[in-house]
Amino acid sequence: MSEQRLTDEQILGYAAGELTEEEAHRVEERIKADPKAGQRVARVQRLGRILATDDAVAPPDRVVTQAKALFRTATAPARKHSPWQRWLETIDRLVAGVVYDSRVEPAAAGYRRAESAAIVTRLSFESDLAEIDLQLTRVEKGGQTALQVMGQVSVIAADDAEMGNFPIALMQGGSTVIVAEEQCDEAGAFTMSVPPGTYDLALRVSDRLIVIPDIVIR
Amino acid sequence: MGSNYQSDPALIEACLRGEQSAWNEMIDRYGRLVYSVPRRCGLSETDADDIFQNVFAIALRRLEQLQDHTRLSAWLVTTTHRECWRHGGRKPLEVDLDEREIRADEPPSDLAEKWELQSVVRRGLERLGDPCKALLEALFLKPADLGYEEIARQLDIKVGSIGPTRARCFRKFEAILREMGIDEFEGF
Repeated sequence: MSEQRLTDEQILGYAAGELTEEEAHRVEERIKADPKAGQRVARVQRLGRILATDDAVAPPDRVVTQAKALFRTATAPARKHSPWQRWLETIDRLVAGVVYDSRVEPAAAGYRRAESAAIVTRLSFESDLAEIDLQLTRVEKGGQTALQVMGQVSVIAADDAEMGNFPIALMQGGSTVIVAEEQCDEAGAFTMSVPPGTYDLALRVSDRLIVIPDIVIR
Repeated sequence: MGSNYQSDPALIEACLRGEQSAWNEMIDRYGRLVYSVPRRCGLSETDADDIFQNVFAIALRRLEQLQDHTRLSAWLVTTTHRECWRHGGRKPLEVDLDEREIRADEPPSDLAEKWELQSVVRRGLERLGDPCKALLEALFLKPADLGYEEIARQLDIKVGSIGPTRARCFRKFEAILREMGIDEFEGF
């Protein structure tokens, strides 16, 4: 036996501790005589440990489906009749900075949970041209997550004609792919629904574009 | 055992060409790895769901800028760990695409490498397919006290065939792993 090459059955049986004392001893003698046999046994044992110690958790199917759908949104062709592509490329832009985030200051946030388990986040942004307040509402219903973005735009030093009716869009963060677009009402209010993710918000006021980058909506 | 396995660089290139199937494969390949990081950090399923979406949204928009396409799994683990850190309410940190210059809190490198290897090996097991996959799972992944009689009953095979079948399946499994570029299992 010690002169015969070890079979995979013997190696696997030895690695699993299934051999009798005599059989195991013969395997060990063979390993001593043949370093390659020893390497093979060690390799099998390592691969067995990799499998046996794997405590990873698979994501739920709906989460996987949602993540795969991100690609379709990102690679969708530009909407034919949307002027956003032209606006994003040509007009003057301002970046609005965050002045309030209820997630950082939970004590002042006024978190509330409605009957449908809504989680509310409030954000405020400011630029030279306008202030934008956002309320992000996450609602869990029947295992599905819906995220609503309600906003209010307040233009600084504008005439009555520019108090509302601004085009506004949510784009996939870091890209120009529009996920949702709306027009504010006459008072500058708007509402949009999007899946969880990170977005850039763009708002067109006069001939200028106000951009809020990297809004984490979840 | 197909021979259509794409390396990570090939997969990334296919994604950048706009191939949905490549993106789907990327998620299938690394979904377990990414999802497990927040769960191992003690975060809830809901939090893990959110972090999972965020990480792949980040990956999608930054694929083009990823410097080393052979380090995709390491980048995903680090990015996920960083998202867990942010999710915990700490100050957001710079996300640096160069893996060599990442300054944020990261998982221990040996732990990250272990998780990555386990993820790839598990993926290899998926590619193996039944009945070999079922047998190796029963022998290696199920509780240790599952005897051969019970395994044979569950898989509807003869007890005496388990040893030879295990050997044959294990050889196929190793061949798949070599095809996937995994030949060494250091660290275990």
